[in-house]
Amino acid sequence: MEHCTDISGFATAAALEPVTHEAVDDELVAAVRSGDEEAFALLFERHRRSVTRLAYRFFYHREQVEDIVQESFANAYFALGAYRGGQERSFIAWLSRITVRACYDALRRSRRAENVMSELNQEEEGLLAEKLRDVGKGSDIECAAISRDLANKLLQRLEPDDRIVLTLLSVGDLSVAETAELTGWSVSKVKMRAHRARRSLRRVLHRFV
Amino acid sequence: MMLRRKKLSGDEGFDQLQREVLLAVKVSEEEIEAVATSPDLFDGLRLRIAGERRQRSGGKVLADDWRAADRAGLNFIRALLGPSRPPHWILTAAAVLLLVAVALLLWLPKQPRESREIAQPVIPQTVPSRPLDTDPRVLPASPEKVLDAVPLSSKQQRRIYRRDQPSDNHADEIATDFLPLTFMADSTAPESGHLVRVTIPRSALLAMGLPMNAERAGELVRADVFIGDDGLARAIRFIQ
Repeated sequence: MEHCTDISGFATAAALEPVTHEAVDDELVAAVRSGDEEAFALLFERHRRSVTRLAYRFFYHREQVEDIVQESFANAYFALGAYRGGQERSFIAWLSRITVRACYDALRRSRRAENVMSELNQEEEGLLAEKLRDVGKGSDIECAAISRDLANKLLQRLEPDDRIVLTLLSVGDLSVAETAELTGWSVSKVKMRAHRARRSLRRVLHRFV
Repeated sequence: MMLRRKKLSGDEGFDQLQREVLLAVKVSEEEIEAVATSPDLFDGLRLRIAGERRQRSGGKVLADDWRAADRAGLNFIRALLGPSRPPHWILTAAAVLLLVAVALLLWLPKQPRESREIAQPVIPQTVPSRPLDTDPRVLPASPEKVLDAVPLSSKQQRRIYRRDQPSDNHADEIATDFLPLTFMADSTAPESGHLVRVTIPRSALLAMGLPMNAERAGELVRADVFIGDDGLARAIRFIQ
């Protein structure tokens, strides 16, 4: 059984990656624990795409994504002692949780840093307003002019908690339970956060109408 | 109804836009592949792990050092106390003794200062040896300067007197200049002497050759008497 498919957000990743088994991951983890550095390189090789994909959900710039990937694997490396193996959860689920935590921390840091680049310029605001007017006419957003950059700038205006929940639910196509597992929050908190996050995003969009 | 439909369509528009905004952050598999397969990614990770490991081992070494120091301190205390655990009353007595010692340490430094302050006016002071000036009226008021006098104007003498006054509880005292009690040649002048604070009846002033008001003969006066090493009173000043 491929445990990557447990997290629906990584379903496409499973198709791209070679066949993975929990047992293989657990064996590699055991090898790393006994001091085999090459085993960790193999673990990295097996899961780097999944982690990169997850990091790209929250960050737009390649440098940021690379930083998150490295931070996640480094944190996982030093936390391998706490990994319980396939009995509780798969390695990729455990690693995803670490990655989400790293993304959450990075979002909080970047929010404190008051990124000026997240401000929309007049051209972008006009573009967004135009798309808002045309949205009812069935225009295809993927083909429209709302770029990923624009979406990213809009999402940067959300609280890190809101963004984490919205991204995992809407972009990663995860269920509430899966989101709760990844974030470490309770199901009710995820639901409440999701409701607030949608309201916040709507408020942000209203500003440009 | 029309308004509600309009509102609904507006809400739907926003919902759709929300979904589209959220989906817009998705990146293509090619981009993910480009980042994930970057050779620098794993090199950077290895460097990060090495740095983190160094940092952690440094912190661990420091923590180990502290732990070792703690253990050494505990072993020392255990060695002092001996193999068997002492009874409670010994520990209590030790604690009481320690408290008393701390209290004494805090109290003792103050005591000598107070006694010094009290004793200072009555303890004779040694004056550096120097021949007495032929004119004792120019002697400065300060005892240390009794034999160090050079002819100065009265204004200069007052200035020196004010400057040399102690800043403690004797600051409110007024002292006259030293008046000579004997007339001696420079060669027989004392090498050094003592200043003694005395309280004498006014009648004693007559014996020193000083004028006295007969109506106030019974009153007491305070004075500093400069006594040379030969035991003779050389000069006197009055204190108010």
